[in-house]
Amino acid sequence: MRTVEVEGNSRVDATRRALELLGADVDDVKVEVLREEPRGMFGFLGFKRVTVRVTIVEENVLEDAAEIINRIVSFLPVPVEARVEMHKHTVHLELAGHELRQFQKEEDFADALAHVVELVVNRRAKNKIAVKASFAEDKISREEELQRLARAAADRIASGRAQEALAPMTPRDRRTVHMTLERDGRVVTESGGTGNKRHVVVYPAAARRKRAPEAAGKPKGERRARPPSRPRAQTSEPEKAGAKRAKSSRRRRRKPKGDGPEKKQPPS
Amino acid sequence: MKDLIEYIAKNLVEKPEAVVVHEVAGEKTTIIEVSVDREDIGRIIGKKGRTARALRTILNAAAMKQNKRASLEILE
Repeated sequence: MRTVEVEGNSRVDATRRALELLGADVDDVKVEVLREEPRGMFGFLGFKRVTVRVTIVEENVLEDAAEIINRIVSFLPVPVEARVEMHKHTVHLELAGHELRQFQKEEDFADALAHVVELVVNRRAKNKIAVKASFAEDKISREEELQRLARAAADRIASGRAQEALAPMTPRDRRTVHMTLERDGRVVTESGGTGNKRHVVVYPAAARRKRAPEAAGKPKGERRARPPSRPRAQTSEPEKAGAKRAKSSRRRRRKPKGDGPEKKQPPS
Repeated sequence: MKDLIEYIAKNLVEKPEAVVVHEVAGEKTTIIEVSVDREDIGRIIGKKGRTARALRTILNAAAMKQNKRASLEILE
């Protein structure tokens, strides 16, 4: 907590000096008058001497915010840790605890939390304070988790499962999964489903080689439902005569139909 | 869940004593009913329902504790 005690010849004067010292705005401080001595002799000669203690109050806001968050977070099913910081007129909540992701989008939750905290904090404080919340190092650990998820699925496929559909993901996340398993010779990945149900499906690599030429001969409806994987899923595998043929036949087919819907979702 | 909404609601309104929260438990879905002072309804709902939406988001995260769904209703 930053506090100064300053003497001046009036309350206003003393406060002004204190604010200069602190480099703070009058809205951000609490002013207490410590001593007020009357003018010198006869009550009008000389100056009044006023001593004020000026304290920057952002600490209170921080404590409020921290308390509210901790209370809210204590109701959650998974541990979330919050770190509260303040810069200028903005409170930053840095949240940690990624298990929450199982249930909903973290950003949504962070925004909701920030909004509520902002309302509560500002209801008590006089001046407006913005509150922002985000999950710490979101991108890095998100990626790691996706990679872990992808490898676990690949392991299950390798030990005999016919296929495994992962939960629906954003294009970016699907891309991460595809890329993680791209070099895994045991499996191939492709995206299935449409719109916000679009998800990655993992197959054994052997099944893929058989499926490709087969799919080329199938009617339209069947193909839509399960578009062919990108060529790169195949390129990591050693080229065999059969695989090559399959690839070129698929490529021919892709031009008229496959391209349209696939362009929209690049990482499929 | 009820406590959570009650805590937040009481901190949002001008008249915390008028905040009443009921929990109607169902098999899968729990309904949390909030009623507040007439004057405070706007504070609970927020501009374009932003606060109500935030409350629902937080509630849903909390509801997963019991493997349930929860919905929030604001009574007038």
